[in-house]
Amino acid sequence: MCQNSAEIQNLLAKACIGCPSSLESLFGHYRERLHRMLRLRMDRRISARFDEEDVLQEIFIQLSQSLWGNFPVTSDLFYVWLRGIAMNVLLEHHRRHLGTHKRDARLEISLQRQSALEASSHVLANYLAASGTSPSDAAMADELRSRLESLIDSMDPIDKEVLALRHFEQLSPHETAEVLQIQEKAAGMRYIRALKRLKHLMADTFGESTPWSV
Amino acid sequence: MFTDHSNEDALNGLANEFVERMRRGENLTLEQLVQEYPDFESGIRELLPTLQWIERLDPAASPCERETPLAGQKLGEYTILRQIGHGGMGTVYEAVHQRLGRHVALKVLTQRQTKNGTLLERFQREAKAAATLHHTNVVPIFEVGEAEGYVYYAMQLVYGHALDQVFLTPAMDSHVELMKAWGYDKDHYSFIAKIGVQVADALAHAHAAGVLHRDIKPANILIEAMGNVWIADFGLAQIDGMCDLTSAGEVIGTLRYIPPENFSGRADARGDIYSLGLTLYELLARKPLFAGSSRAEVIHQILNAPPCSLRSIDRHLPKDLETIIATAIARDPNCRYPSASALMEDLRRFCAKEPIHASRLSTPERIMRWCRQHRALTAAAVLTLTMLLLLITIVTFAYYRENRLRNDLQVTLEMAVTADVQGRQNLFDSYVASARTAQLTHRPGQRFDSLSALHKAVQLLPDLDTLTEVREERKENLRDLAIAATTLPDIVYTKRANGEAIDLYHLDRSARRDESGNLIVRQWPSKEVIACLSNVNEHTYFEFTPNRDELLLLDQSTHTLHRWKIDQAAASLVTELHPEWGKLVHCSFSHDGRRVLLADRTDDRAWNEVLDWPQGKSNLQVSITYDGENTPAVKLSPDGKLIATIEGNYRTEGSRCVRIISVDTRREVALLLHDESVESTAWYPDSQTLAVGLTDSNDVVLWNVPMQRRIGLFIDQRGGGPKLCSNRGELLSSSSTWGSSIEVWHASTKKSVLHFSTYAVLGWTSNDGRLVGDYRLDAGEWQMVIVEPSSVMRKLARNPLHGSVEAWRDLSLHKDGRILAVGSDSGISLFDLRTGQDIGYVPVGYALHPWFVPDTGDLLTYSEQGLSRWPVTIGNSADAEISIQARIGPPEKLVCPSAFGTQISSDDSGQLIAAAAGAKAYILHRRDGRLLTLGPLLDCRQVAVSHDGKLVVTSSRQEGSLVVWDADTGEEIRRVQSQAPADALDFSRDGRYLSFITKSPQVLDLKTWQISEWDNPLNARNTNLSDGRRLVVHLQPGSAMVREVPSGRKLAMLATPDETRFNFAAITEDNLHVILNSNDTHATYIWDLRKLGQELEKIDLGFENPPWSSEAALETLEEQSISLDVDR
Repeated sequence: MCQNSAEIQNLLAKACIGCPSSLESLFGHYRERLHRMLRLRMDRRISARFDEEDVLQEIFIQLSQSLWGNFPVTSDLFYVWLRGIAMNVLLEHHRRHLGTHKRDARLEISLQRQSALEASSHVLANYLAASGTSPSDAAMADELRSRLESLIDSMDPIDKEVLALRHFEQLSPHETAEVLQIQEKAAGMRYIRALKRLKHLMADTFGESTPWSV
Repeated sequence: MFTDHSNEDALNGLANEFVERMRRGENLTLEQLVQEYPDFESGIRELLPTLQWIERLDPAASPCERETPLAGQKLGEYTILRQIGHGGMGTVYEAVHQRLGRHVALKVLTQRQTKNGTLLERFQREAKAAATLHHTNVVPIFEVGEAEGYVYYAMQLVYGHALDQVFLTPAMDSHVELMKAWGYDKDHYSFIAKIGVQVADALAHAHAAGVLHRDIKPANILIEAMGNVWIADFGLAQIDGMCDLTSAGEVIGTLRYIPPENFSGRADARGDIYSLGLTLYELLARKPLFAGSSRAEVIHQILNAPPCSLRSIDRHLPKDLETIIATAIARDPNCRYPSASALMEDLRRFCAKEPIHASRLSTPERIMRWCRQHRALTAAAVLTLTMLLLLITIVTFAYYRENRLRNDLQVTLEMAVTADVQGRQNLFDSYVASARTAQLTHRPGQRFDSLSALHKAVQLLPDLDTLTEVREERKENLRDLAIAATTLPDIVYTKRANGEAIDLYHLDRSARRDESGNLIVRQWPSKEVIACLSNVNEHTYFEFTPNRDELLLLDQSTHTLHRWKIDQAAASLVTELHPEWGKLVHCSFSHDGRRVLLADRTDDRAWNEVLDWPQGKSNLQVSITYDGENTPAVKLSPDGKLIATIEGNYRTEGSRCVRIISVDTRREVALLLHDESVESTAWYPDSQTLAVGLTDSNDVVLWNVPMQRRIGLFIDQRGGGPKLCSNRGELLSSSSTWGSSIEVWHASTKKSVLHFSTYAVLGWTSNDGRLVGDYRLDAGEWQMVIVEPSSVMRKLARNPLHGSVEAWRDLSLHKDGRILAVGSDSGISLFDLRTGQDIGYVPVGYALHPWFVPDTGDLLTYSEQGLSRWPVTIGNSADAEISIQARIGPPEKLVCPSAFGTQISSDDSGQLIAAAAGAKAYILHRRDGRLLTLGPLLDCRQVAVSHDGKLVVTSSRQEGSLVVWDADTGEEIRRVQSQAPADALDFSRDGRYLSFITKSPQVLDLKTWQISEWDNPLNARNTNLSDGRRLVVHLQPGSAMVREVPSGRKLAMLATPDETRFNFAAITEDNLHVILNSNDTHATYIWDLRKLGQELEKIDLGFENPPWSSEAALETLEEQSISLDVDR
């Protein structure tokens, strides 16, 4: 990402003054990151019905319909803003297809917390278990899966979120802070504490000689 | 030892670094890192394994195989441009046909599907069947093909929205705009029924051709802004459906449109009727009929659940419409409409408020319906009946009850008056509605009928029983509508006598030979005699030349050419024509009248000759192969220097090319080759652009002749070759091959603006840009058809040779008010404001805001190539044909550290230049070369310099604040919050006030730092913004508001009937022209406010006290051309 930051800045400058093709290439740059975010956060009941590509397409349409003047011109702020659009699209899908209504109390509370779609422990666990690709890993996967799920579920939501943002969405510390709407320093501390807690949880659950220790 | 906090902080930094390194592929070991950072040993030992674990488990690379091609890739003859959509069956791309340059929608099957042999075979068979369908509501399939391992088909690209996007999204009001565009402001039901009519019509056509659609649903029906409805995926959807039904991730949304009988394996035309009925049901109900959450549940509902009555969802829904839809979606196919045409007929009847066939109506309902249709008659009848009854009552009881009688009479009179007022109100409303509708038709009457309906409404206005304010408001609305109407071209019909020649260049004279051999010239159409020439024999052909005072006479008996200046008593001989002269079939002059093309035919030979006029010197003779049947087309260019010829018969080799021959050198200078036979050609007024119509595809290709390059394409669905381009380059007409209809296009935006049926072929253009044609009527008269372009608004678009435009941006006017610069993503275009011609192009790359220095007229550009000053010199030209010679450049490069500024501005002298560049802004003092940096700012996009160069103001888009800077020192003087980001910053001449636009026009007083609304007359008076009255433009969605300052009075709301969105605006110093740029159409719109005032005057809606003198004579459109050189 770093080596083409000048290029992105260039595209951003063009896009913010109304050039549709640069908006498209810009979206192309962030597409993989958004896709990653979708895979992490899309409810599996929805992902059975919708292709993630369709949702990405919808996000792009939303992006191109937003007024050219409205988005930030620096690249890290831009991604956070774009991710916000994507979250809205996703939220809309959840709302439409899972019968969550606008007045749903749960949704409102989570909206206020700015973590409308928390990375669900199920999805996280799914990720963790599925990503081991060797046969032996695969054999372990089922066993690990349920235990990981309960392990991650027991974590504080904010810990879960900060780990998901940093590692699965691969946001930079600055972007993570922007998404969580807290100071970067505070975000960093939360992250370190979450890492520590995860380490302890793992140690508690699986003992010090965890099968995945490197 | 660290405190806990600073330790965590440091660990966070380390964790970031480690993660970065791991993601770069570095293999980190605990020992190595502990050595690197010994101070943090415990932290690293604690966290590194967790970090590695979580990173290793990250599912970064998803195992998604690339099944679809990429943008830029070539598939067969197509180059893929971008992805439009993606569905179960494959991906839809916008692609361009390499040779034809035609943009298509390309549906590409996924490779998974391609591997399925039976599926593939069936797909190809169905696609071929569907490709045979030709109907205005069926998206045509051009081609089915296979390349690079992909199977694809190419369809016409439709710029519209699927109905599910329009009606069934949570943003439920998106269809409201469409309804407006169609003129169904309130009647939601007819609007949907009209959609149904078009779909049913297309289905009827397809069924007759033996093709079933099999998957009608809102997502497969596209609607364009101008109202046409398209059905996509004809006959193909079922295959799609088949994979869907068998694949695991099937879409329940598709399932619910499947007719019940399909589940038992039967499918016929009535299934499509069912699906259409269901589609209409959902559009009306705004929710699915079968809303099960699982596949099984939906199927169960389709087969068993009783449909929910529409009227229970929407009790205002007309009964007939409910009946139609209930019939269409009957579960038993035998109870449905027998054919799509029967459904269409009932929907059409519903729209026309006629009784439908589907069910009989009760008598009271019939009476109610009749009454609704004939409101005025009903009202009159009711009134008459009431009065009669009352009169009987009066007579009967007169004797007894005088008092009572008086009261009754009073009541009757009051009722009569009320009915009368209501009637006038209804009449007023109907005039307004018909004016609005006419504007959207693209049919004759779109301007004149609309204006005359508005005129009638204006005349009715004083009789309406309303408050004065309401009346004024209505008048404003009428004016807004009238302004939109004046932007449209329209047709005038008139007649001429047999044998009467009309001065087609000015359309105000006619010539006719009487029985005694006198050639009489009259005013036309007033018939007042102007001149007469005696002894003209009956074999003489006569024609006006572009010079309004002379005629060309061709005596076909002696083969001699004469010239008659009408102030002289006799004609003079010009030349003798060649001896084998046959019959004259064509005579046309160059625009300046100095060359004439004469074409004659004998039985087996076609001869064309270009002569100098009036010297008679023959320059060029061309003989063309001729089969004695089709007339070969030869066209003289408007400058008289080139001719374009088409030879050979349809589908022969020769008929595929257009030969361009220079009149001066007699050599062939260009050969324009096509894939199919050429139908006709038309020159643009620049004599460089030639429109060529192709016979089979009906496409019209635009060529740049000197470079022999294709520069554009019109896709004509109705069929026809280009016949004529107006002399102002605005309108291009094409006629269908068999001569029954004419399409008029806007020549630069390639949009169709008028379509009408006629036997005429438009063959001439008048000097003021009208297109003229005629045809013979039975009664020895000729019907003349004249297309009048809008006199009020002109659309300018960039010459395609100067590169294509993606972003069409801000504009600036040169001090002489004649040259207009428009910024874009590929350089700056220069237009002549008077003639509307694209006169030049400054190739500086991405340059969005050109700036002409007010005093010197230099052009400043701030683009990706940096900041430059381009001197502009304008002088009289030595060349007699060109009146003004302008020169731009060579550029002087100015120092500026940041590329990509968003805006530049300067003081009047151009010595002080300010530039906005996002995070910073710059002030450049040209006198001493000082460069001051302002900022850091948050997204600074706008900048303005006071006229005297003392102050600079910047506006930040993110913050919504204005910052005023000292131009000399670069120090911040004041920061003022505006409610929203400010645009169009403008200092008053004395530097006391700054005007700008947020959501409304505002004024900042630079002494008191107070912001006030501009359209409040009180504030405006206090601010005394300018010495005299001045106009300002304020952009709104779909229109531009012209206001007068200081009063704040609204002068006009400029809008087109299709509500083009304007993005940038300027107004000339003399308050006469408003220039608007639209990024949507990539065109520049020039409005002539004075002509607009005159047009409005004709229908009693003229401007009161406009800010220009009414005495000033209207400038005539002089053919005073400007020539411009750009020195790079």
